[in-house]
Amino acid sequence: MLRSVLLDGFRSFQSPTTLPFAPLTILAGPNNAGKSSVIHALLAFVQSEQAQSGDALLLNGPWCDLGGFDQVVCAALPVDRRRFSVGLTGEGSAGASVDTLWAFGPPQDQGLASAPVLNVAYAVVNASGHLRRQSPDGFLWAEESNDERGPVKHNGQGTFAHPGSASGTYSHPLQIVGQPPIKAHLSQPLSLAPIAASRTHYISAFRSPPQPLYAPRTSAVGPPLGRYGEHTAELLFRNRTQRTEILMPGAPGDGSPQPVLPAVNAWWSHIFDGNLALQIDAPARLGFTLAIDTPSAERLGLGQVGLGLSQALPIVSSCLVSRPGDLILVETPEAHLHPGAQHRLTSLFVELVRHGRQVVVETHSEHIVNAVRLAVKAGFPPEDVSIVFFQQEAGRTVVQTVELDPRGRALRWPAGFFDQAAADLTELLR
Amino acid sequence: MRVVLLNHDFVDGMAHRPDLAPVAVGLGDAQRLLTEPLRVHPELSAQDTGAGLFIQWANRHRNDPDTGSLVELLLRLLSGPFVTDLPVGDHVEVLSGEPPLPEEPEWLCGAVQHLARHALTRDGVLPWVLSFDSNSGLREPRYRLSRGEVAVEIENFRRVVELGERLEALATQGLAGALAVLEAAGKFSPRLVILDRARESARRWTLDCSEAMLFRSLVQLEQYAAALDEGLSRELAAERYHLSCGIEMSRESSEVGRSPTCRRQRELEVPGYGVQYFDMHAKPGGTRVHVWTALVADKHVVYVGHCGEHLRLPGVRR
Repeated sequence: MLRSVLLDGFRSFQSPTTLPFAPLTILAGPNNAGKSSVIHALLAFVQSEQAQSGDALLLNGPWCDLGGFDQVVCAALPVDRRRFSVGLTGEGSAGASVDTLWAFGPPQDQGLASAPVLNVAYAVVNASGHLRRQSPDGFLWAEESNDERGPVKHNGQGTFAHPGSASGTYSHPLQIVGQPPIKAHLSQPLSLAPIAASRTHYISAFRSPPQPLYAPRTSAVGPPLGRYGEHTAELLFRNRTQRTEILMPGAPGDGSPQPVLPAVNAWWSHIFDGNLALQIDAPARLGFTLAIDTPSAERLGLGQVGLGLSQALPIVSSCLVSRPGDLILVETPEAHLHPGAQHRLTSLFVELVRHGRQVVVETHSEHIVNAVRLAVKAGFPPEDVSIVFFQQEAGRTVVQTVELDPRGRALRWPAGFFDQAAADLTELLR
Repeated sequence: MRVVLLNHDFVDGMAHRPDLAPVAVGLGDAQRLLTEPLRVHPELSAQDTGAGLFIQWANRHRNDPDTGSLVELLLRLLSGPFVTDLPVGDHVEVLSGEPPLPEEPEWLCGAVQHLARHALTRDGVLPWVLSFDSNSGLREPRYRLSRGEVAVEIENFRRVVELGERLEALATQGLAGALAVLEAAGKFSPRLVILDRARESARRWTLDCSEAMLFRSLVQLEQYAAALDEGLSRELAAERYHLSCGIEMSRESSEVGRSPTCRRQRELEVPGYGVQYFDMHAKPGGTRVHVWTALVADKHVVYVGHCGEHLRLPGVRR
């Protein structure tokens, strides 16, 4: 579970900016205000893990393309301070708290789309330490911890499997009876990031249009859905018998988990206020096809129905394939959806959170925000919601949090936060 | 009889607030259905401003740049709850007699102007809501004036002088805003240096203590600096500060210092001194004022680096 993300010198985040994350996090604000940068910063860690990129953050890869280092580091920073920092706090996969701050600098080869680690400071359950780059290939590692014997200090060398995972090696005197003392080299794994590629789902703002035949994946890297949702059919096909406990509110049955495909159909029908039955096929293993059986018993291709249906399908599929503890990053879920469908889609996000997922939604939709507020009013804990409002001021990002009370009312309503409708209404009322 | 007390300004005010905008539309419709399109509380209509009846005065001055903002504010404040069960129709004669209106209401006093100026520059934040306490008597109606989390009871707003006093009290509870207070304190106290980051945080902060308390917490930092001049430790200087103004001040815990992300939030660039760790912080209400001190010509100068929300703590989401 991510608890916070800190960005400093990263794109338009000129100064250290901390964003609180909750089980349901809404990133809202005008275009080009920095919302996507937050998600992309996380994706950079995820793709670095998949690629085992060593001591460098992979800026371009199967999950996202941030560009070169010069495009990522804040342009307003002076030349001698061109570096960026990312801080992540939360609980790792084992449930232990992690609090890590990385500093990244320019690559030696400007052609590389990566940013080497300059230093990392971390605090875990009962230890804190840092890794500092000593040479192009080596890191000094120092850690202080407390165990039952008291404070323990380690100093040694550090190596990275990827920026989120390192190990510290230190020498330890070893005395074997009858032998001269020797120094043993011990290695300590360092799990630095509270996110993991295998537990991350990403649904990008761009979702591919319906295809007659969806080509099978040729690589296991990248988001489970594919960068643009192009592997939705395959994901559903391969997980069609997996069971999910994310049931539609009021669904018939005893509440026990049901197979993913019927669950997708139930949610999909709910969101679009219809009766839709998705059919997946894998004809001769050439690829996958998606079709819809309508109430009139007519079978239609996805391209023959409203675009909103195909745009929502990757979101619904990814959400229902997810497992407790997973992180689901969704960009612009409202795209092509009617306000009512947006509202009902939000109820899926709420259900996911109720069942242990963490959902991060980047949105321009006040319908989604209002649906979250209504969920809070209906009993969803307000502390499980974090609404972060982004704005650009003089080219740099500033953020404000919008906290909700148990009635779903915003305790503070920043200027510019979904007030366009109200402003328009004011004009109409004049 | 259900009475709708509203005017166009109030409806407009609501329309600025997204969660009340649908109500504003509904009220607009209701207003159109009323035989008298603009109805305000008869007591308000009858208020003598010293320059005629309130409504007449307000309408005359609506476009006056000097008093226009004040008029707008007062219209919002005084046009009453948008929907109330106050039985004006039958009891208007009971209300209109007493207490007698003051001869020369002093409602153009500095405090009210200050209030209006700051309230109206904070565009987009919550509007004032004046609600009638239905448990109060009609002869002594009680009103509650609230804006977001800030609220004040108004026992009887028929006396305008009293209202002025109430508004003045209200002005110390969040109307000027943290930034205005911060700037004022910076000008007042030569030992206080306000960093831009503090201004940024104050600008985004809805003050949750009185402005007077925030002002005190800032200017009394002189006491903290003076204690450091005497050679006291930061902790003892913080105690001296606490004794002098009643506002707690403390140093961040070692857990905060150990957390790389929490520490980074509190590390700020001080011109001429590089990046410094602003771990000392005063606590006026829920507001946090983070400071760092530098010794300049044998005197400590206090740099304010943050004035606003509680910064994140390790292991805590907010």
